[in-house]
Parts: sequence; structure tokens; C-alpha cells
Amino acid sequence: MSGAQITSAGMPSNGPILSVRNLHLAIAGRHRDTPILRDVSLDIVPGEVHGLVGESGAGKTMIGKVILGIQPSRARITGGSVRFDGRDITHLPERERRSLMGRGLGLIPQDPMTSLNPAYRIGGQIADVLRLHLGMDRAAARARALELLDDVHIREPARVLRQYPHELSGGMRQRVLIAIAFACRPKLIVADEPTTALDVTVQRQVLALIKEMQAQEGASILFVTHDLGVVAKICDRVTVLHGGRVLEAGDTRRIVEAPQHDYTKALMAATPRHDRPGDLLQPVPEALTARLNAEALAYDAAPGAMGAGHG
Amino acid sequence: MADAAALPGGLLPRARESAVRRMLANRRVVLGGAVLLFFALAAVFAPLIAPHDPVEQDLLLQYAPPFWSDKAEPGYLFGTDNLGRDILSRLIYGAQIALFVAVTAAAAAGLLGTVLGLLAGYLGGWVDAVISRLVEIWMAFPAVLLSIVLVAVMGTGLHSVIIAIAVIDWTRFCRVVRAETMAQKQQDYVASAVTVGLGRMGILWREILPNVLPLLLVLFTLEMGIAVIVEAILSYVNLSLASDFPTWGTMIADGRKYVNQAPWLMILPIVCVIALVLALNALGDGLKDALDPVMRK
Ligand SMILES: Nc1ncnc2c1ncn2[C@@H]1O[C@H](COP(=O)(O)OP(=O)(O)O)[C@@H](O)[C@H]1O
Ligand SMILES: [Mg+2]
Repeated sequence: MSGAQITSAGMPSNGPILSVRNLHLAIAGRHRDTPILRDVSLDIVPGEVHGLVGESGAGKTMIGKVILGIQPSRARITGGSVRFDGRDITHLPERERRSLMGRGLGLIPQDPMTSLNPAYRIGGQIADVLRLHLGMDRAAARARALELLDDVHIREPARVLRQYPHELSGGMRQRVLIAIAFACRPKLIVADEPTTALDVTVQRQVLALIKEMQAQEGASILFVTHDLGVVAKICDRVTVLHGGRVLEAGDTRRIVEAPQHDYTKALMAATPRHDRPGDLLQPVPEALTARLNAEALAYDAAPGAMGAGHG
Repeated sequence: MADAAALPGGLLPRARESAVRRMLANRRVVLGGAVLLFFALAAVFAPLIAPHDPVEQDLLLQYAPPFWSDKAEPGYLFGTDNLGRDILSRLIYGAQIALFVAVTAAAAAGLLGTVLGLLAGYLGGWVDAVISRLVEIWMAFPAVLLSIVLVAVMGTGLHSVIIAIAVIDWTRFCRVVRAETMAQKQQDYVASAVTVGLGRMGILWREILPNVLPLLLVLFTLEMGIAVIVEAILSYVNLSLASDFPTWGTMIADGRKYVNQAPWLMILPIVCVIALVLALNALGDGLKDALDPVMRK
């Protein structure tokens, strides 16, 4: 019923910075492989914030990991391609993969509490990245680190440089991680639920900060979230994922105002809305989830026999 | 957390408490550390503080009793042995040998075990399989027997004792470091390090190892205690140094022959061994408690 939407998002004229094409991925098991991603396609153009939305277990994190080349060793890409800046990066040798990180690709992680190395000071961790990729000397790296902390609105940056991660709150750490992600001016940043682990008040600030940095640096972002409300705030376009399948994709406005797929409608009904604050929130109906899961299994049995978004 | 973010620099008040302060607040660390420091100072400054030459014999002054006896000889605080050698001086030089062996043997065992443990825990796969199997086989041998055999093969002497301890006890380090490395490897900061483009070995040495160091400090301290006992046992059975060298083990072995006339000859070095070993164990256990929040975070 919504098979057409996947392609109706339209190919951008200025060429995508990231292009995921018909990606299939399975986790190797003892007896058989478990499919995780099923024929996933999405494009991100330069300067775009692209939302990847879906419930827990949909495979959002896995897509981000494949892009960054950090998928678990048991995960096997069984088909399709991921092109970054025009070349397939699914099977890059380690050396080339490493040179892509930092200047090409960056990550804003989900859990700021555990994503900084507890053994090093903040300043050292930022400077390391700058020295590794931009070949800065100690003094230049320190000056740039100060500037970056200031960019992410950390007060007293000189002092924070000297602190260890455990001395900072979650919101502060996430600001530091955002600074690190943007440090080498990457073309694409994967932000995996970057505000989920934070308090509500801090969430809003961090979201605004990511948007601000993105606009300032002109990077593209793959913004992974389970929250359509967040998507509506900062994403230009959205891809809706369930059971490792793309169900619907398109401009954020179109998706939010006129969702086509039943699942997108259900997600909308499950999201608090500022324009209709009185609405009761509906969880995604179990019958719908069961139907989608059955579709996914049917797809595994006969790939290609039915369209990915077929309802 | 929202409140903390509002503080200048986002400083959490409790987090100021440094690892050092937590260590100093731990009674076992302070007590064990004080006793260790006492022995360490005695060992380092032995030539300055020992009242006599530890091997100098004075056959006119045999079996002089310690200071608590009325027949004590002035200038010989802990009395003399069967050859008239000053016990205090021998104990002080004994501390030097005990601590030298403890530090070098624990360092050698630690180096070997840590390198293998890091590689096994981080690389996994066949590397882990080979190293883990080696550890299992190694641990199937009884340690004391193995050390005696090793020293017998290599010949007596301090270097043999040190090598024997390292060869036997690297497995202690290896097992713990392997487990901790596997735990650290799962941490998000490692994934973050990959996404900023650090290589595999760079991540192991620069990201993971610093987080294993607190644990290594604990293991090292406990291993020093073990080394002190092993050295004492080996000198007791005469496999360490030639017997005119004043090791505590040799003193115990010598004293045993005169335990009826002069029980202090045996008791005093035993007290030293026990005090140093207990201090090292207390220090190690205390450090483990004090550093635990750091290690697990
Ligand atoms: N390391 C792994 N080993 C096995 N299965 C995994 C692993 N990581 C993720 N999965 C599986 O892949 C699916 C997608 O997970 P994930 O990408 O984390 O979902 P999301 O981020 O959308 O919540 C889940 O079914 C999960 O169980
Ligand atoms: Mg996820």
C-alpha cells in the first residue's frame, strides 16, 4: 500500500553524500543466520539532517554501525552497498576505514556517561583527535580544543579541559562528545539517540546544540531516534524503519502531516504533540506489530516476492 | 543531573573526591602502606642505619639475648646469633633482599601476565584460546614444587628465585587482566575511539590499558606478598642465596637449630616475614576497595 513512497522521496539533484542501497545484513548464528536489515535504502544529501525513526529493535543502531564500520563481527552484510562520497565503504581495509573517520565520518553516541575514556582528561581526549587527523601540535590542538568547548557552550572551557569525565554531568559530557564529533569537520555524523540518556530539560538544549553545530559546520547528520517529535524538530527528511525494513520515507513535513503507512500513523499517534496537547497517546497496536513481523518473515522466505513496504 | 549542569563547569561536588583521597581514607591502605614504608626505608638506608656488618662474626659474643633480657649486650638491640652476628643488622639487610625480590619478581610476573592477558582479552579468537589453554595447563602444576624444580634446574641464587616466581605467577595477572580487558572492550568509550579512527593496537595500549592500571596496582601489591613468602621458603630450604647472606628465610632455617637456647633467632625473622606479608595483603585489599569505583566506571 505504500511501496511507492520509498522512491517518491526523490533523488536529490546535487548527489548524496551517503547512499545506502538495498542493504541486507544478518547476524551469523550457530545453526542459521538471523536477518536484521532487509533491503534498506536511504540517501543523505550534503547539509541534510536525516531522521531514522522506529521502535527499539528496528535496526536503527545497526545501520549507523554499518556506516561507521563498527558492526559486530558476527554481523554479515549479505547484499547491497553503502556509498560514502561516491565509493562503497562496506568492505574497506582497516587503514582506509581509519582515515575516513574523524574527517569523513563522526559519531555522537547514545550514552555520554560511558563514551568518554575515564582515564584521560577532557582536553587530552579532544586534542588526541585533532592531532591524529589534522596533525596539529600540542599547542594548536589545545587552542582548538578550547575553541570547540566554547562552540558547544561550555562555560569555563579552560577548566573543563583539565577535568576528568567523572567530574562532569551527563549533559556536559554530551557537549564534549559533540565537540569531538565535529572536531575535524566531518561530512557526515551519525547521532544515535543522542538525547535519550539525558534529562528532559537537558535534552532540549542538546538537541538545539546539535542543530546549531550542524548549521554552522554544514555537516550532514543521520539522526537516529524513536521519537517522531524530535524528528519533526530537527530533521529535513525521515526514513521509517520496522523489523529491519524501510516502511516509508520522505520529507519530514509530508511524513508528519500526511503519513501514508499504517505504522507511521501508529507512531504519530504514539508521539506527544505540541499542537494537540490534549490528545491521548496510543501505543502501537499489537495487531499491527504482529502483521509487520509476519511480513518480515514472509520477506525472508521469499525475498523480492513482495515489496518491502507492502501492507 | 540537571542541577549539576548548571554549576560552573558542570562539576559534580562528590566527584571531586580523587582516587588518592579515597585511598588515604582507607584504613587498610594507610596501615599496610605505613608498614611497607617502614620496611622500604630500612631496606633503602640499610648501610646507614644498620649498626653492624650483617656478616661480621664475633665468636666472643655468641647468643647475646635481645634488649628485653637483663643479659642483653649494649649495642646489640636484638641480640646476636650462634656466630655472634648482629640480628638487627641482619634483619635490615634481609628486608633489602626480601623487597628487592618482591618488586622485581612481581614486576616480571606482572609484565608477562599483563601483555598476554591484554592480548587474549582484546583479540579474542584463537589468540585467546591459545593463551587461556596455556594458563590452564600452567595452573595444573603445584606452585611450590614447580619453583623448587625450577631453581634446582637453574641453580641457586636470587636471579633463579625471581625467574621462578615470574614463571609461575604470571597466570595470576593474565587471568585477571584478560577478564578486565574483555569488560573494558565492551565499554562505549572503546567504540568511540574506533569512530575517531584509532587503530586496534592504539586502542589496546592507549585506551584500555590505562583503565586496567588500577587493577594492576592491586595485583602487583598482592604478588609482592606472595614473592616474599616464596623467597623465604626457598631460602629456608637453602635454594636461594648462600647461607651467609642474611635473608629472612636463611635466618629462620639457622635459628631453628638453636631454638632451645636462643628462640629469638627464629622468632624475629618470622615476625618480619609475617608483618611484611600482612602489610602487603592489607594494602592490596585496601587498594582494591578504594579503587573499585574507578575501575568499574
Ligand atoms: N551484537 C549483536 N548480536 C546479535 N544481535 C544483535 C546485535 N546487535 C543488535 N542485534 C539485533 O539487531 C536488531 C536491531 O538492533 P538495533 O540496531 O540495536 O535496534 P535499534 O537501534 O533500532 O533499537 C535487534 O533485533 C537486536 O537484537
Ligand atoms: Mg538503538
